Amino acid sequence: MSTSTAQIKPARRKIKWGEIGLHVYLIGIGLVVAAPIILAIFTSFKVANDITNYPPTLLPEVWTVENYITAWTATPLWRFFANSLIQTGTIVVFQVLFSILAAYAFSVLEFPGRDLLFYVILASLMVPFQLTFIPNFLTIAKWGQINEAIGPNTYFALTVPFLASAFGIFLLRQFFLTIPKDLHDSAKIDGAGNWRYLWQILVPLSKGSISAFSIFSFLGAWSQYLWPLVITNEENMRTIQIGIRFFLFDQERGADWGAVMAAAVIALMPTLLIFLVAQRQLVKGIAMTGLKG
Amino acid sequence: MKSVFKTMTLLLIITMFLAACGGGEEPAAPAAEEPAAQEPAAEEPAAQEPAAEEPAAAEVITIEFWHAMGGELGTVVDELVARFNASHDNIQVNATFQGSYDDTYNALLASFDAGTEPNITQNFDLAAQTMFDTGRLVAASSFEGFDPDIFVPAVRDYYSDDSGMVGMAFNSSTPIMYYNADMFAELGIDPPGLDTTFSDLIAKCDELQAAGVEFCITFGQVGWYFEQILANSGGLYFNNNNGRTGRATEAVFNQGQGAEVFTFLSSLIADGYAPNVGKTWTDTDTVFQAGQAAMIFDSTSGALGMQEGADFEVKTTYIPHSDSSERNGVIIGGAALWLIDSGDDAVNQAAWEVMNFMAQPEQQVTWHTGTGYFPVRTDLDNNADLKAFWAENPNFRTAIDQLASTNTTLADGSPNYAVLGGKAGPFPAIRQFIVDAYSRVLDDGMSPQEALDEAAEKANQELSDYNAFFE
Amino acid sequence: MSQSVSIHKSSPSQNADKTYNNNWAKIKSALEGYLYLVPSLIILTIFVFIPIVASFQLSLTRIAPFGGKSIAVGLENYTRLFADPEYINSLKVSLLFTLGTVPGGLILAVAMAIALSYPMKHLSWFHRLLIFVPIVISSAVTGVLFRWIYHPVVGYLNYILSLMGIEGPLWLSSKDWALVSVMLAVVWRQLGFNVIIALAGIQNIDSTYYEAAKVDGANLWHRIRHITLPLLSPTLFFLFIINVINSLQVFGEINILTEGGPGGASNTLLYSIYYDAFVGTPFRGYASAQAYLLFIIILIMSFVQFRGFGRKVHYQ
Repeated sequence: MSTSTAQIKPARRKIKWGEIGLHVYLIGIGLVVAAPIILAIFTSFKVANDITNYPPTLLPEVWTVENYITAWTATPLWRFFANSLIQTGTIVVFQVLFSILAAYAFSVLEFPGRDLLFYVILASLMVPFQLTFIPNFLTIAKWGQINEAIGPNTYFALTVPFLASAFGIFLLRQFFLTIPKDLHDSAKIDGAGNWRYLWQILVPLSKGSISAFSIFSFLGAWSQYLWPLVITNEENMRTIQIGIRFFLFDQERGADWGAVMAAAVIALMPTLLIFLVAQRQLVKGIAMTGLKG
Repeated sequence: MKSVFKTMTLLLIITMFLAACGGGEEPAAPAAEEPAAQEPAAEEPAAQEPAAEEPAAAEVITIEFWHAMGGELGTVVDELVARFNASHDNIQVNATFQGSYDDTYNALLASFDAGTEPNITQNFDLAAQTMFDTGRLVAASSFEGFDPDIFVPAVRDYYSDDSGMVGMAFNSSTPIMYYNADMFAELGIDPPGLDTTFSDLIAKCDELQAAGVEFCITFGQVGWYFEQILANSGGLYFNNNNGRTGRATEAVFNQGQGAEVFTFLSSLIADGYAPNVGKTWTDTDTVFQAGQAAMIFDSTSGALGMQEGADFEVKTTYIPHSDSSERNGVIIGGAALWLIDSGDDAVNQAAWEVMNFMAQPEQQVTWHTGTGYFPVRTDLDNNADLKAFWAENPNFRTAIDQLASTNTTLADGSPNYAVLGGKAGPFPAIRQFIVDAYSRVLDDGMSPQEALDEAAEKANQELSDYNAFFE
Repeated sequence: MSQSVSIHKSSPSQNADKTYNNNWAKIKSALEGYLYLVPSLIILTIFVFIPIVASFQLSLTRIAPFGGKSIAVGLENYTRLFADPEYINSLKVSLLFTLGTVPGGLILAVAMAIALSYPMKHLSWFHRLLIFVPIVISSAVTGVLFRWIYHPVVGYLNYILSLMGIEGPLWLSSKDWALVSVMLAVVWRQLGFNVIIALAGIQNIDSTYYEAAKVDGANLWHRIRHITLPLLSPTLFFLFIINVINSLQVFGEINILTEGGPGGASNTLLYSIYYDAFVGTPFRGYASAQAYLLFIIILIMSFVQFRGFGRKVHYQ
């Protein structure tokens, strides 16, 4: 750092040097961090020869959208994309809804076994998905024998194991606990039951936490990989994440990297957009959820 | 915070909306509803159910067809499927790319448990025994009008059990050796001939690398080249004559020729004749096409793509064999189509029509010229179109000739089990042990023999675990 | 609330009715509480709690690769695991993976978060954008992006290294580097999340602490060492737990980059479970035994974490 040289100069100058240094440092780090995405975006606009040229260049020599056309037409990419939206949307809505309900029970209501149940649910966070996915696969397979509508290769199968979130329950409970009890008492005096208090007072007050959790839930669901991989085997039901894997893995011939990168860029667009829209709020929201304890 | 909430709500609504639209032909209710309700009870199950209830001739039967052909190969499969659909009003084929051969095999085994099996699946050579063991197949030979003798004998025998041909030959391949003809010409080095021993090849490598070529050869550390070069050297993979005169109970690839072949392959990499590119099928192509390696072992199915991706002339020849053996020839590789019993004769019959269609001369010509897989029919040798095509593309002939010149009978008149290839239920898993063995040699410093012994030990365990269910 | 309390209170006879109402109200309110929990409980029971038992049952059998036949083998799967060098290798790989990703990832994240926390007039949104952005990247896309970067022939990473005069390794196909490659990709993907949480934690620290320290003449390092880090410890604890759990759950990158190879070099405990359950010739009983042992490992670790860490940080 330039503190020693800056010491000699006037105070105003000193602050500026430090800030410029910090800018350079941050931009350097930022570019390294964002590099894989930047490279993917540029690569997705390159023609085939350009891609296999050595040494690799940053910018395309010739810009082309051919790769996007290939990615979009060579596989039913739009279908994978739509599947991911349906899967993710369903999971987010139910996780948020069920977490609000459970968090309310754990923070406001009183009933025997409440704390025990809370710890049981919290403990489920410690159960790795890899312990459950084999039995879950067999469960869904069994259900499929009874009725195909709830068996493998359905949106139901893609989403149902994830409709509840212990993390969401924990997060929202922590926030609900910070809301003064007086509010509940005065609502009771006004004749509001639990249901009305929850939806008309508590939830509006907790928008920040709920938004933050929704964003997490969205990111998590959109990125799912192992479960969709084992529970779907029909092209029509593949999510975008699985779609790009199949796009990449060509058994006997070289992968078309330009098109693969185009597909990857398409796959990361929705979450990138959400991030761009809600970036500032995301950070604030997390701070508000009282993660510090 | 208000704006966040609004944004999220908006995004969710957009999601729901897109979700509803995205459902396409399905009656997709908004995703916010009970998911069980939104479930598409549509198209796929319809394939079997209506037909099962009333096998009326007018009903369109949908045939689920899984395959492992990605990229350019997949395009050709799609073309064939489209051709079939266009010419058949009452049968609709729905083709699904399932990833690599291994992926397809894994997906199929999982589908038996999940109850989501397709009507037809492409499954690779190694899966033959497993497929027989599933007991879920309808044999090709059980259909009327099926004539096994139109097929190349090696293909026919590979996919047959005692009762006749079970799987339907579709895409057959063998590995060949591609080389950069321009490079050999420029350096004034003779390209490798058809009958190459390990020492011949190493000598060629020394010549090439002395002349400044970075790598003599490149190949992925997959199990296939070991299996094929072992067969070419007359060695067996499993006991009981490669599992062909009784169920394989023991791996023997660590004895005799096996050790020689694996030592050769692993030392090509260890001694710097070949780059260590891992168990890839694809990265080796890049190395070869970028001119970093003079030769490459690869499947004949790449004949088209290999030339297209290179800015030099690509030529081909047979794979090598050990110094202590004569050239035996190769095992039929690639994959076959298997018909999985749907429990409904009409559906099975429809599926059979699809498989039969794929084996017809017209389709086989498209398939061969579009990919490099060789025609599985014997009657195509004199096809005029193909003759013209071969004259222009001699690389497409190499695999056919290599297979045709394979010694299927030993001097004493008994079958040459080496070139029939190994047959065992857990073969796909066992192949993986060979892949691991490369790494044991190259990374852990094991000797090739030690690595093979370890692989054989694991293979034996796998065989006994598997066989326990089929005794 | 126990009944004895009510009985004690209700000595006058006219209070019996009230007690009854009181009890009924309690039952009603208890029922209401359970109703709010039912949806989550049903899902978690079917898909988390029952599988804990089901998995154990599976682990006591040898299941045919297809067709559902099974043979009861008692604890054989477990005894075999302990003698299986590949399983021992997976244990080692997972341990290395966690050690390699969690502390490093957290140190990076905290360093970046501290830099980002300085109020700047310009460009602060831009810095955040670039550093946070991996949070939106899925494991599958991460795998695809890094496969390209690691490409042995035309990959950017080795090209950049070659500019510095270093001959880059074969990232994905060498046994020494495959795991490192996956770790780098995972640290990268986790970075956005970690920095966001760490930054939130830093911004939550009361600025008066810093002002007081400045008055005392504490330099930057001292302020970080004696104010930021201690006050950040609850956040760090949270991040630590989440990251350890995540590191044991990494799947997508391994599946796309190395498939556990070469020679098991990146075959983590979880990848090994998937492999034995769905790849090659699947033996789901054996895979379930592995899953069960992993579950026990995670339980023990969580216990140690809570006991060991719980006292040093003010975590409720």
